[in-house]
Amino acid sequence: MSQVRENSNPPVKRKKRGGDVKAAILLLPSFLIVSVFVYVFISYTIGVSLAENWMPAKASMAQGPDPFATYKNLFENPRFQSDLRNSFIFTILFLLVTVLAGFFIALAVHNMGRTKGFFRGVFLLPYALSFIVTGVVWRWLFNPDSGVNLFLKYSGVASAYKSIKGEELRPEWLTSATTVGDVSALLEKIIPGGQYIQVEMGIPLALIPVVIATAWQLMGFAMAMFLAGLVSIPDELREASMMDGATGSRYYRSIAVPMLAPIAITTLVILTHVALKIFDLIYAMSGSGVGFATDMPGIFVYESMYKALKYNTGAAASIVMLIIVCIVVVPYLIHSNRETKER
Amino acid sequence: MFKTKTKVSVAAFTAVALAFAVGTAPANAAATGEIEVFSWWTSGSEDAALQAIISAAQAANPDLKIINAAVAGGAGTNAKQVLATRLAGGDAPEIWQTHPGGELQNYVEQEVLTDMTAVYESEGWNKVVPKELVASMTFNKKTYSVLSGVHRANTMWISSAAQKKAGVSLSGSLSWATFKAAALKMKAKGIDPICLGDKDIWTAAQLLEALIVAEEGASGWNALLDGSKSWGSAGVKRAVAHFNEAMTWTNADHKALDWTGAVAALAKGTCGVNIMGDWAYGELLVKQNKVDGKDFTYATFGDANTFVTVGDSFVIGKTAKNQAGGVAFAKAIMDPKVQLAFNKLKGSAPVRSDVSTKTLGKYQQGAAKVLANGKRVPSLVHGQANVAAAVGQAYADSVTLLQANKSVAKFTKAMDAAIAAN
Amino acid sequence: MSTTTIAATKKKPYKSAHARHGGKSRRVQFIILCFLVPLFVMPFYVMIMAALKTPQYADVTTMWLPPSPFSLDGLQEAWGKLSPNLMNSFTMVIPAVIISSAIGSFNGYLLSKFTFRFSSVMFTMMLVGMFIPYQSILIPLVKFLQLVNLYGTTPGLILVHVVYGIPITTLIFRNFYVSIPKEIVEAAAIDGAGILRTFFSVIIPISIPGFVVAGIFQFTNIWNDFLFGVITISDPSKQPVTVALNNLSGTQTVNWNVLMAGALIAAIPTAIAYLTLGRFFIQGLTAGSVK
Repeated sequence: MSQVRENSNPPVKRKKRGGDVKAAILLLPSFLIVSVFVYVFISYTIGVSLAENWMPAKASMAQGPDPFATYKNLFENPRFQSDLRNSFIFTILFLLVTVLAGFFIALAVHNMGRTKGFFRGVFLLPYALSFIVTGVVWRWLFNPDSGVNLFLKYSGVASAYKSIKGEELRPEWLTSATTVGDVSALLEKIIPGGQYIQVEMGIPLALIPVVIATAWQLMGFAMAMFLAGLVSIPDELREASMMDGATGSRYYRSIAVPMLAPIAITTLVILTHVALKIFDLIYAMSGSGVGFATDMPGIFVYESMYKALKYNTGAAASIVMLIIVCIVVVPYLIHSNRETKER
Repeated sequence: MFKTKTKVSVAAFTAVALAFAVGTAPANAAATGEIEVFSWWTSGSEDAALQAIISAAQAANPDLKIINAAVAGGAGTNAKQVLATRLAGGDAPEIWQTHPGGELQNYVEQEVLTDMTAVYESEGWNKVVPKELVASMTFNKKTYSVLSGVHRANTMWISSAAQKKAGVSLSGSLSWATFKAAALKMKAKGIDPICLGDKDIWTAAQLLEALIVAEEGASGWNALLDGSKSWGSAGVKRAVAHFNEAMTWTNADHKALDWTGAVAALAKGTCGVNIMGDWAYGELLVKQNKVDGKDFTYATFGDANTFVTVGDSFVIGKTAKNQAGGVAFAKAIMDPKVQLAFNKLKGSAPVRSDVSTKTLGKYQQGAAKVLANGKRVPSLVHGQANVAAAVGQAYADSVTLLQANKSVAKFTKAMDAAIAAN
Repeated sequence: MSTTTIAATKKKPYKSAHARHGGKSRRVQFIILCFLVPLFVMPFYVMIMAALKTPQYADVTTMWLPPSPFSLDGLQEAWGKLSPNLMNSFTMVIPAVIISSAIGSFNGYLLSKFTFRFSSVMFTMMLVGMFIPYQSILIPLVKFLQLVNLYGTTPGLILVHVVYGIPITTLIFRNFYVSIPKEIVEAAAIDGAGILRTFFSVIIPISIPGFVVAGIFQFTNIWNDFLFGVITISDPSKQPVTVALNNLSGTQTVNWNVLMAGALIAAIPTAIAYLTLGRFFIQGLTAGSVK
């Protein structure tokens, strides 16, 4: 056990004030070029979002009487309200499923001997496919008439359900218009301006197949991340814990899980960024869905800018997304950076 | 930082374009150099039809190098996305595809299109292209675009098998009452009266559009579009109520199908009718191996003599290098022989009324006749109307919401607001 | 397959550790994994079946049925349209993956093993950039590429992928290195090695699992990217394979057999990359360095 503690030792205290200047200088080029590609470009996008009538070949940043009118209209737009709701719910469900499944599958695969390579390959393979095409395949699979419902029918699950519940088991999947757990009434009381909410703030059931499809595709990546973490845990640690008579589960609780924490954070951040920007897969799988049940900010930005030719609306929507990310993710990032560093 | 640069470059390009326009005035000789043709046609019959134009342009201009740059996806939205960045960067192709109406107007406002009025006059195109269509490409008395063909968006395709089973026969101009009676008979026989694949909302939006045009007529539809008539009119309300009723008659998996899925279901006869643009004709004939008149027939909601147009249009980029090449390609598009060859492959009707349609399919001959002699109204769903593209998007969004909330009042209110705001 | 055997024979303790606490729970895990395999493979089954059908039968209603009539037309057409662009993708993806992973690993090393003012702010600012929808920054991006004279070129596309890849690879490596003991770096410092030499001689050799995941992520992302490919390069003969794949489907009609076949073909290089990189998931690479 002594080695474990030594391993997670906090870094030795800095010798120099202000830290390693040399390291800072070496990081600078990356930081600067990313800043250009991110912050300079975003400033331009902010300009577009505030402009009255910006067009690609007539890039006038001239603002109208109320530069924030675009933002106001955006928040009053029921479609964008649905998008924010969907993005939030989708991200949470998707992260839960993908990270947990990825973690447990990685543990199991890691324990396999000869079959390890096979399982790793099978679970990682979906990640190789283009989102546009897997979206189509999943749309077929979740067709209530000819898709996975046939399994329910032929496996006897459907008839068992019918004999117990007395009604037909026929999940509507993508075609569902139902939203469960509507909390709009509650939200209207809490949030200032809550009366603007025009959509049901619940979980649209049509999002569930979308979550399954996306998790299917990205679970392999989460697994690969955890596998990389697991192989990096020195054998000695494992053996030491075995010597101490630790059981399998105790080994995981006291050694593997803490050591995988940084990997879990990495996976969470990467998957969050995938979830918030999800576009192709849903565009191909369900489009906007019944009453925007599966619409996403990414689809909204794309259609506003290049279909409706409302560049300021699309730009404003992406800025709103970014601000929300900053509010939610940044404190978390800073906190977790500090934590993993000090540990 | 970008702003000033763009202004300078726009000015520079305008100057260059003017120089070109002057230089190419007496261009009757074959064009040379290189042109880029940018479209969203990349596969199947669309690609074949595009190739028909390209090879004709090539034959007429042997020394012209034609680059076919196409980007599919999102019913042209992907291509528009690419084009937007290219226009912003001053890298316009010689020829690009667009929709007439509001979308074309957006390019006109950006001053990126070459004025083709002189070519229209010298070639006599004004005389052979229906005036509503020329009008949809004309802004401030300048015409900016040519049409390779025109699809019809308000055709009702009918499964013969379903009709036979239900003992009904639909044809010609259909009133809602006639259709409803037939639909109920189909339903009684276990057939879903309406085939729908509205995973992409435009298919449902197209059905509603056909219903509104049927109730409002051509003049009423135009008045709705130009804002002189409120969407709260009795006709629109009736049409939306019909739509809500129709949505209870569709195949249950409609939200999980795209339009080709609906056509496949029609071909199998598991559902009755499908309101679909006449690109469905090729799908039925070629992919589904069905026979016109035997396996399927067609009719129209409302007046069968009203043609909801979906034109495929091409423009010349003003800042593109090879203006003469662009004009040569536009002329190839409008060549009567090319019009025939193109539309034969694409399934649409030639835009020129002087093209003999005898060699086209039976359906197409009828469509071409209605296009030339009937009432022509633009499709809002397919971005053909002289309204901002944002109105089309607002319409699509309103239909999405309508499907969930069924509220006639919310729909008409949203549309009035959209027309007023744009 | 062979690598696992090598790993197993080389690292005896690994096997014995398993033997001790494996047993029953391992068998249960094996059964669960076997149960999951068909769920993961099901969509592939549908794709492969559709790819081998005629356009009429490559359809939602017949998706479970084996191909009848059997047809290779879809594969043939897809190959014909994709193959000219395959090479473009390779010449773009390989440098982009290598450069972005290398930069990420170096940044990760700096951020995890050194403390300096604003390091947390710089890191967070780099990460936040990942979250903007790319559709909304395309126009400034194109203008920037024109400014540096890289618009329409493969190096330009590589640059875009490298820069937008840096935040993610940096994150992967930084958090990967956090769990590697600081003593390693300090031992090297005592030996008189500078920042760069320590990186090359100490850090790189123990980073293989990090490179595997960063490589998997970057290869997949860049290979499957359509948006940057189509925006940066307008010449169809230079565009990556994803643009050709996208163009297999038409605007008004799609032959699913061709599209499914195309998707399978386009996924092969990524799948091969996984297998190649997966070989390096070897147990206990860092073991030696702890002592």
